[in-house]
Amino acid sequence: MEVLRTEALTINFGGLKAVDGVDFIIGDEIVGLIGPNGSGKTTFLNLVSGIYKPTSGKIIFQQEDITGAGPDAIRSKGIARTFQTNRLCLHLTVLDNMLLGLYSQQKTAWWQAIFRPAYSRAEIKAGIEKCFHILAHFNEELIKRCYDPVTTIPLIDRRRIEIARAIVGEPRLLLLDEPTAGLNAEETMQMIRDIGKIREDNRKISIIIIEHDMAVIARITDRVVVLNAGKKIAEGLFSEVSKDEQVRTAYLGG
Amino acid sequence: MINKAGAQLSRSLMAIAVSLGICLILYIALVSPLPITLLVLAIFLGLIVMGERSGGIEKIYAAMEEHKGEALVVAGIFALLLPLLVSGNNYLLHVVVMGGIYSIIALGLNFQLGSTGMVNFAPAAFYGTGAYTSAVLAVKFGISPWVGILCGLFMAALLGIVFGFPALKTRGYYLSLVTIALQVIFTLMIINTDWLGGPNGIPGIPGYEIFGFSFRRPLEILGMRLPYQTNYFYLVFLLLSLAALAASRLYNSRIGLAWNAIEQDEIVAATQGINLTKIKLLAFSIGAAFAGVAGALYAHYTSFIGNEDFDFNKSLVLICMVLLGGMDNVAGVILGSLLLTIIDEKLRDFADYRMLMYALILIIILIARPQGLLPKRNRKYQIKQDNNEGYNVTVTAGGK
Amino acid sequence: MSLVLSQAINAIMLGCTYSLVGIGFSLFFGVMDIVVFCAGDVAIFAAFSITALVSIVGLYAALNLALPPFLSTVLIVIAGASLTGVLMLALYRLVIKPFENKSALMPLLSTIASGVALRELIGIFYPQGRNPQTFPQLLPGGALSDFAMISWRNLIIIVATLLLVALLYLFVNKTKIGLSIQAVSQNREAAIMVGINWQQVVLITFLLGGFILGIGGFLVASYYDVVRFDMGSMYGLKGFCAAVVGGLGNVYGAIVGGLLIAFIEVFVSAFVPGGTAYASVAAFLMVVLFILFKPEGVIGEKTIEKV
Repeated sequence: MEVLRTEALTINFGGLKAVDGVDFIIGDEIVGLIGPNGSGKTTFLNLVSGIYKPTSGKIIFQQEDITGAGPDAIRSKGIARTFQTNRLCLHLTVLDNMLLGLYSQQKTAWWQAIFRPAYSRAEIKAGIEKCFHILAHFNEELIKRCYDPVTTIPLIDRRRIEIARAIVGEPRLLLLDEPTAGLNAEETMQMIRDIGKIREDNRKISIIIIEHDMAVIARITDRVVVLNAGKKIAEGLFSEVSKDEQVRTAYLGG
Repeated sequence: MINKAGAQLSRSLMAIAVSLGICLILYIALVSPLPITLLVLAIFLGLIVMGERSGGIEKIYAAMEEHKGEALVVAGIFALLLPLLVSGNNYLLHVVVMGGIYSIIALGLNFQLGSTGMVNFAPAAFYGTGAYTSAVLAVKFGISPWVGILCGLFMAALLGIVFGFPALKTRGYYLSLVTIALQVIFTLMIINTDWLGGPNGIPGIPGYEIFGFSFRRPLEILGMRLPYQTNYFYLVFLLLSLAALAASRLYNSRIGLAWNAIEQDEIVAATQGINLTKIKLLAFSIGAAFAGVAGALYAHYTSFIGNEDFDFNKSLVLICMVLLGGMDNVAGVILGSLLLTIIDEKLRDFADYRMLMYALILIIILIARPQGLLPKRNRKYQIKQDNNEGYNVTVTAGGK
Repeated sequence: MSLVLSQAINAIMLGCTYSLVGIGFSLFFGVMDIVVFCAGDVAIFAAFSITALVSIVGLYAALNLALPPFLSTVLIVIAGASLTGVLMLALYRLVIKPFENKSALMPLLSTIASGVALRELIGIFYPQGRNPQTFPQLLPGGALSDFAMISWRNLIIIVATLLLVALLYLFVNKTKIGLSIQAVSQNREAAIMVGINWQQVVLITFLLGGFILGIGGFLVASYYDVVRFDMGSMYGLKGFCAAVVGGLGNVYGAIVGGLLIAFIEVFVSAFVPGGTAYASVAAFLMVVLFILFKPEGVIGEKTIEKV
């Protein structure tokens, strides 16, 4: 079952092709996106999540062409993401950050916010309950700290909150950009478990993950795609791809 | 259980006491000469700072949030009695009416400046749009001022969308220059349009009437004759309460959250599904609508409006109110507007020095207390933890 | 034809005065990344200082006893401009330095407020300060040519601006401290890392900027022949517009911006029926459109926002 497909996806930054004709497909699975620094991995996620508009090529999500749609429209269609440098709204509380993840699911319009009918009240109530439910999966402690600004939360928990914020809105596709960056070995193991749990709880979430730590890739991905200089140079099982000669020269340093 | 009930009661009393205290501070600031007003302001600020240092203020905030109802009732009763307390002094009442009108605009401006972090140097233009719309309709077409309020609201909201358009494309200094330019253009257009009275303004604007009772006539209750400002005082504070309720509900909704998210990080906001165009324009149009209502009130209160009521200086004053009170804090914004209006009126006695002192006060606030009297708070929802059923969430109506 | 030409010269003169304030804005923005909104009022402060030196102190008459009039004018203008340079330093210390690394709104508001304070101080303490003051005739007024009414004064305003810009160019490109200013404008962190004394650069920039603003104030007062205490707000706003149209932080762009705004103003009021009243409206509208559709300025390059 195909979830997302890109056809010859290309973006040009003033002559530099950061992503160059990438054909990519993901079904009900976890796909790892790997490649050396500057190979266009993050740019690829930025294209899929609508932050950049592709120069050419197509993005098809659940049989629908979403090429050129804005980030908000793409989020509403069911693609959520996290960022490489953890980007929570630092001065908002844990709960507010979580509720932001539900924004695209909620329907309360501005006049309903003012007159606050029963419907809107129920929506806020259900929203908070759902946020707590998701947070509980990652770290119960975070529920107790739900009114603390994110600035006071340790890094591992910030990463968890960012992932929790992405999945609370029940996306069909989750894009994770280096979820273990800055974590120590033990925290990395916890993060691997957390990500595994997302798939266990909900088989209907496909994940694209960018990761530098090959141990993580080896453990949690079903398949990997290798980018180099904006081009796809290999794809398949990690165990096979890691033996590929081209990949070794480009990435693993021969 | 008894301890719990006792603690509950003491917190409730604390909320009432604090609410009464703030009302008294405002009252003393209102009736005293300028030096005492400034002294009271300094003491008030000192108390807040002391509370913040010792952490005691958190208890007060918690009590106020928990017992919002009681605190509001006290403030409401105080407001109802105020005309009697100042024993019909029409000048003092005038000051409070203006304070109420500015509070409404400042609440609207806060959506842009405080919640969304979009600089807007043109709130006076929105205010003026409301005033001119309602005044022209009443003077030239004989349309009821009550309808005028709605028209003023609508026209200001439209202008808000026009002025908000630049905020979609630009930020920071560029946005401030655009809004300053739009504000100046607005003033110049009014001066140069004879149909709007040009530099002479619009005189003879009728007052409000309800069932044949004119708001411009003294109010007689319980055998007391209160000046006509009393009528406007009640009207303005009714509308201010509604505005404050709307503002705090917006703040506590997903819309307010979206505004805050945009202020923090636009790209993250967009990737959460927030339509930046729509939500930013909403901050401008709702904010402008508030100012439009205030403008209509002002026009039918003073009976004369001119371009100098709605110029760039007025915009600056309005921005100062939001800053002084505390950005994105509904209670703070109202407090800031009331206090600054009072100080502003007191400075009238020093005609020549008024603007100078104004400027100095602003600089001192910016250096000494940039976060305002009441700083931004973390958004709280009423959540009661229940062991059996997980989390029981109730949502309460917001207020001041 | 001669009307068009005389209006064009008029516009160039006005543009020169706007440019100088624009240059001030751009200098400050380049080094500090802030908009010093009181620049217009600082410039008008110079005009008042010069008026005071001439009409109250009688310096011009005294100097004329010993020196040729041209030289005494230069001396007085330099004295006035130096005064504003020092004033700018004081303002930096009082209302700008406390807001380093704070939200951009803070220094903007504090400089707006100090602009208000400055003009009110003039209004209160200058004798009859709230009334318009005749600006002393320091520049020769005679006509240079009958055709298109080019006067000595026009020529001097334009030449003085060009001279000042040329000196600025030499200073910024040929002196050590000038090169430091450039380095800080381009990348503050890197400049500090290679050992540039940032604080010193800032102080010198403010001194220099204040000096340029002072000359701008002298020229604008000579252009109108009259100074008012509240002239600074509009003058400053036009200068800010010039800086933005030219690309904030781009000193030479500010000249183009100033000329563009002045041309629109002058030509709208001269050639559009009933346009006099709407000249400023047209100029501001142009600025708004510029910011919306070409925010990088006339000569700036578009940058890609990094995600």
